[in-house]
Order: sequence, then C-alpha cells, then structure tokens
Amino acid sequence: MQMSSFKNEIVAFSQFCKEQQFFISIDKLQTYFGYIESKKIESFEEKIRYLYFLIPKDKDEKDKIKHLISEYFNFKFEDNTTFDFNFFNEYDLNENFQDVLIDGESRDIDFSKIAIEIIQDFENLDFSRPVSNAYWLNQIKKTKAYEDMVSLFDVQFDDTFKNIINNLNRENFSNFLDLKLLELLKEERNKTRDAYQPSELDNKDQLNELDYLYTNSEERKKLLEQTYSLGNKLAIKFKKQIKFSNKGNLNLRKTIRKSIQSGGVLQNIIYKPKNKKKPKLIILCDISGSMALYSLFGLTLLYGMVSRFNSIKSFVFIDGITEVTKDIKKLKKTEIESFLKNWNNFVKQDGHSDYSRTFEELMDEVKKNNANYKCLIVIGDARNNYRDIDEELINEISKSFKNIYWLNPERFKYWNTGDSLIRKFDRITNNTSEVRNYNQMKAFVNSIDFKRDLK
Amino acid sequence: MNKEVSIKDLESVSYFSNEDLVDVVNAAIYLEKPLLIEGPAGTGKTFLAKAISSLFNLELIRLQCHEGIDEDKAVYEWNYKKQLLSIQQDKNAENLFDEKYLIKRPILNALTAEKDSLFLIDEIDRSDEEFEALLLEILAENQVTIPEFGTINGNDNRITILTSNGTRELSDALKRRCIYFFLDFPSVDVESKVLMNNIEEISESQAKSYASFISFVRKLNLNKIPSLIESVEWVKYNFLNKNKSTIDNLGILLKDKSDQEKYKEQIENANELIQE
Repeated sequence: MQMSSFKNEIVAFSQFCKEQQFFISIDKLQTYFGYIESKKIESFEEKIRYLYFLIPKDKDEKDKIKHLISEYFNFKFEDNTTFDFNFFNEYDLNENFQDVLIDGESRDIDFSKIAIEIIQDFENLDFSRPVSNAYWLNQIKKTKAYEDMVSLFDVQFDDTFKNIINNLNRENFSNFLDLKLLELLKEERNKTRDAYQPSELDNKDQLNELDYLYTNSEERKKLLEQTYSLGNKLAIKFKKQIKFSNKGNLNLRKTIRKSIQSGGVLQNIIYKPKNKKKPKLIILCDISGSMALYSLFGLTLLYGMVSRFNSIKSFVFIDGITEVTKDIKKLKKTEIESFLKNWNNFVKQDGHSDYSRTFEELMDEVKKNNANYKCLIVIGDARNNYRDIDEELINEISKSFKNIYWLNPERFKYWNTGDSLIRKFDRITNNTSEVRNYNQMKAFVNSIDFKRDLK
Repeated sequence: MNKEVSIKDLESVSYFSNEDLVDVVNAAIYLEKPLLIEGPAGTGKTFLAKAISSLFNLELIRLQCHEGIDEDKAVYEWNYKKQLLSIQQDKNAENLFDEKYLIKRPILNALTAEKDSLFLIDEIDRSDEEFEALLLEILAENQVTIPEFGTINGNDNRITILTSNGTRELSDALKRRCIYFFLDFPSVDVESKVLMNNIEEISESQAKSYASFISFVRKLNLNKIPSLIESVEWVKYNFLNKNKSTIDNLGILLKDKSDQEKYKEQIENANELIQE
C-alpha cells in the first residue's frame, strides 16, 4: 500500500521533470523500483538518495536531478565535500569559541544555534518587503553580531602554513554560516508568505542554464573549465572522423611481409594511407564590443580545440581577421581572459565589427594557402553596424567551405532586427544556433556530425 | 553476486571514500549492472576496482582501452597458425572453428571466467565510438556472439567497472546501461585518512592540516590540479624533511611552471600577513 503511493509520487515527479526538460527513461525507473523493493528500503530519505544515485547518466544530469529533487521534494542533500575545518589549539584560547562548540571533545560547531542568535540580534527584519533573501543576508552580514562571530578566526600564527589554513577556515566558516542563515531566513519568510510571493522559485539558478552574461567570477571559472573540455571534445570528434576516412590503396609490400606469419596466406591486408589533403577546420571568433562576455566563452571553446591539434586554424576578428593559432597555443588555460584584454591589437580600422571585410580577408587567406579547408565554425552575432555585405561574397564562402556552423550568442528573438545579418548567413550554414549558456553550447557540439556532413 | 561493501571494508584494503560511493557500489553489485566511474585523473578510479577485487578476493581482469582498440584485441581472435598446422597434420580435420583454436582476449575471458571476477574496462573514453557499440551486447545481455561459433553466454559471477576521464562524451546507449558515479577529488577528511595510512608517524591533526592545505592548493585556479598520489608523495617528503622549505620540492606537487609561480605568490602573501 505504502509502496504504491510512493510509486505514484515518483511518477508525478518524473512528470514534473518532463516539464522541466529532463527525461527519465523507463528502464532506469524500473531498475530503481526493483532496487527499492528488493532491498526493502523504507525510509524516505534513503529512497530519495537512491533516486539521485540510480537515475542520472552523467554529471550534468546529476546536477540537474539534484536541483529538481530539492525543488520537488524540498529535500536537501548533505554536502560533505565543500566545508572542512581544521582546528588549531590556538582557537581554544578564544573564549567565544567555547560557546559555539557543541562539545569541546568532538569540536563540532553548532551552526544553527549561531544562526538563530544572529538573526535574533538583528531587529529590523521586515519579512513583508519584496526583496530577495540574499538582500537580508547581506544586511545581516553587516551587523556586529556576525562580524564578532567571524572574528573568532582573527588569530595570528607565526607559521605561513597555519595562516593559510586559518584563512581557509574563516572562509569555510562564513560560507557555512551564510548557508544556515539563508535557510533560516527562508523558513521565517515562508511563515509570512501570503504577504508576498518571492520570485526565487524561478529555476534559473542552475549553472548550466545560466546566461553567460549574468555569471559571477566563481561560476565563470567553472563554466570556462567545462567550455574548454567541450572544445577538446569537438576537436577530437573532428579528428576521429578524418582517421577513418583515410583508407587508401593496397600496400603490397607490407601485406606480403605480414603474410609470412600465416604461411604465405594473405590474411591481413594492409592499406596505404590515402594521399589526400587532410580536411582542415577554421574557427572564427568575433571579439568586438557587442559580443561582451560571450567572446570569452567563444575564445575558450576555440582554445580548447586549437590546443589539441595542429590542423585547426583559428582567427579572431573585429573589423579584419588576425590569426591567433600560434599565440593562443602558447597560452595557459587561465590566461585567456588577459589575452582578450589586448583587444586593440586586433583592431584594423575603426573598432566596430565589420563582417564583409572579415570574410573578404578570410577568403584571401584560404586562396593563399590553397589548403583543403572544409569546415568553418563562426562564433559571432552577425551585427554589421549597418554596413552592407555583398551577396557574391556570401556565395563564395558557401562554395569554398563544405560545412559552416554558426554560434550566435544573441537571443533568438532579436535575430534579424536592426543591423543583424544572420538571415543572410543562415542560408549557407548547416547549423545556426543560439548559444547563450552551457547547455546550449553542449547541445550544439553534440549536434555536429562531421562524419555525415563531410561525406 | 551476493556481496556488500562498507566503508570499513574498503578501509581495510586501504581505500578511503565516502558513503555515497559505497552506496552506489552496493547498488551496482546488487543489480548486476556495470558501474561507470568518471572523474579527473588521479582520484582513485582504477584503485577502487583493485581494492574491491582484493577485498573479495576476485580475479581482476583488466582491459586497458586505447585509440584503435578493436575486436581482435578486446574480445577474441582465431589462432590462425594453429588452424594451419592442424589442417596440415590431419587432413580430415573438420571443424576448424572450434573452441581450442580460439584465443581469448580480456572480454571473453571475463565472460567465461570460472572464478568470481572483477572486470575492469579502464579509460573507456580513449577508445573509439565503434568499440563502445561492441561493448553493449556484453554489458546488457551478458553474452558475446562469434559468427563462426555462435553465442557464448557469460557467467553471473562478475562485477564490471568502467572508468572514464571524460575527454569525450560517451554514447547514450552505453551510459543508459550503467550506473553512474562521479568521483571528484577527495575531501579533507578522506585525504587526511589517506595521509595517515601512508605516513606512519603523522598525527591526526597534522594530517588534517596538510590535507586542508592541499585542498586550498587545489582551489588556486591551476592548470593541472595535483592528484591524490602527488599530494601524498609531497606531504610524505615534506614531513620527513621538515627543515627544508616547501618551495624547493614543489616539483613533486605541481608540474607546471605557472602553477608553481602561483603557489609561491600565495605563500608570499601569507608571509607578508605575518610580518604585519
């Protein structure tokens, strides 16, 4: 009886997931129910934990389902990796410290107790005001009670090593305290919910769906790391396809040589590699002002690809192209942001993006090298500052590249408005996508099928 | 297979982990499904497989994937020379595609192993996509089909573990058949236990402070984050040579020039704090 009601709940949950663009496959659910039933797991918490363990297929899905579970079941996962403390004997000298410990032996800090005390100290908390919880947290952080609490860690050590760890402790302590405070705030405010419906239920707080433009430096760091590995994956995808199409004529000498092993029978046939020009890939990234932060992500994707193989050429452009393949290869992963700061090195004329000049120069480059360029990936918003672009030029681009992929960081609804020329390019590309967040970029990378397109 | 691991069991074979991993491993063993472990290099993915195999006394069959690995290297191959010889020796030899001419490669070995075994497919992301398709039949149906011979059904006495560094997206078909776990860098708690296990004289508080220091180093926006083995070696060396500055032997921990510079900068900042 209980089981069936639980099943219904999970089915409702999977329906909820579907609405949120997350699909749970039936065989995964079957496995899950099978496990729950045969292991006779009773407690609700355990059931939810296994839901989190057994359903997702990769890391992105894991993050997503964690978020969905916490939203639907109002369930919090214990995060036992982020906050760690290391106690020094010097802390014991501080009298305040004795108060916050649950007991002196095990040295566990009672954060909820501290949080309650701090909130009680904060008098003018008006829950009906329509501001976010983060606002109240900031207000609380300015109070003396909070500062006193964190000042527990104002101990000076003579040892460098201990000092660094002390700073680390302070950071962890305040992070943990902030979390507890937020939790309490949410609870308190929920009691007076009727006055005001907060807009925080909007599930845009998931990192992978967050617009690149609205990320803070911490989130950006994580996302850039992911973007880099996406670039790597795309490059490997391109490279793999070349290898397989490279079977050429029979290599008689090697085949005969090998046949001696099997007593003169031509068992293994060995082919020469095809003596054809390898298809090469060009990736082009707009770094003009209108691209804002997106150019950083574009460049990171480019970096991820270029750092992997030689046959990938990369250019950045504003009003003319500059080849950056060699320069960018020398960079470290962490130096891309500073690379972008030398923005004026890449300005050729007036510093406003000029797509027609850019592509003219690109075509010259292609003709000059006479290499077998087949693919072109463009990252740009196609905003040409009301300059015109020749139809002939677009046809020429289309002829010289077999495949063109375009990543446009602009919102889809603004495409083709004002000075946007994306419509003209859309005609000749294989795939034009809006890429404003990590999920979109990942979908774009997955959708590219070089094997099919290069045939 | 009716087996269950606990944190304590794993610790007895010097593998330290948290509850999440243990629960997932138990679920995978119970459901007889392959376990796919993904994570950065040097977090103990392969070592987990080794630990489980030595804990249950299982035979470890390992398939190291690499680019261009194919059926001949992974599943089976016909012993062509033996076939030739036998047909020359005995003109009436009829069935040349018999089991005795079959050279078993790791996958077939794992399927037909009499003894309880642990089948480790290491770094699956290095193989080609075509090879993944080959694995599907084995992982889902527990069988392998050899055209000249027929279908070989596998035994049920096997735990399968796949590891991946995530350099390439694995196909959905493969991921669907596995139970997934992401193994990240260890927490301070786990790392200090590893340190205590590896360095004899170290006390718990010392191990903890070293471990939290390393977790601080890992957060430094580095190009190459130090792995567990590197950090243990570094601590071990520093612990035994306490008088030396950590900067002189930084090469054990950080293997990139700009990373080392970043580390030195941080240390200098901290030193300035003291002088103030």
